[in-house]
Amino acid sequence: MTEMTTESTVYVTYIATTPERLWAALTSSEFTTRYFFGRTVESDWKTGSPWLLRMPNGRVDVKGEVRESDPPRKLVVSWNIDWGAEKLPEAVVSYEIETVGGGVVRLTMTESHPTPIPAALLEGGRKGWPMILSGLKTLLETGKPLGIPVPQPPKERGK
Amino acid sequence: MSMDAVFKALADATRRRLLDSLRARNGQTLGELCACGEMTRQAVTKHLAILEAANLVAAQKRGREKLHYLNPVPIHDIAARWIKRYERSRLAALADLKTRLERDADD
Repeated sequence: MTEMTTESTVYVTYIATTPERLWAALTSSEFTTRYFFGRTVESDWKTGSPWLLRMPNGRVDVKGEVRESDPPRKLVVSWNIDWGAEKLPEAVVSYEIETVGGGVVRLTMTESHPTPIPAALLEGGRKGWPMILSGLKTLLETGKPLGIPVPQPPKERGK
Repeated sequence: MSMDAVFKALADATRRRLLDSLRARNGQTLGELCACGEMTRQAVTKHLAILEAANLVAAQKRGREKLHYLNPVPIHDIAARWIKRYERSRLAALADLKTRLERDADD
């Protein structure tokens, strides 16, 4: 039997940047292609609007709705992952940006699961998010991407 | 966020056990974290403060409770500093092999 879970994941990173620049990095493809495993983002980022993540090969593998948009402080989006096989329950991802002073902002990313998901899948996110957030930090602080090879979604990697 | 704080926080077996506990079940309250060990509430609070200061634990308020989450981002930052891009997949394969072999030995 597959183990199911509703555990949330919370990641925090401190970045030497401004809230406006971090907001831009979360919401524009110019940045996301360099830290979000090559993906572009598309949305007008208004509450209630659709948003999506597009892979370098053009395929959309994540889409959802903008639930809350308060630039440059808070962005909440729903996540519907399409990795081909079975349909996964919707997750909710929120980004909170706070100024901590000294030219540093604190980014808190929360991934919550209102509907239980297979624990193995959560494990996948737990490997991916630190890479994404580390890459985002490096990009904003140095202007260069982290240089991690682009991992494929688990369903397509084949085990 | 200072790397020294991360290394100091990790240089303690009790604090590593607290992180293990959150790894097994994320989002625990102070009470839950106290229940799994033989430490006093005061000692757990002290260790959690050090882990939070090093950004290894992220705390979120939910109503009157405070939930604690394992935050591996600083550990990833450390790894990113010394692990080269092409080593990553080989190291992941090695870690995977070690986990499987050790798990089989436990059965």
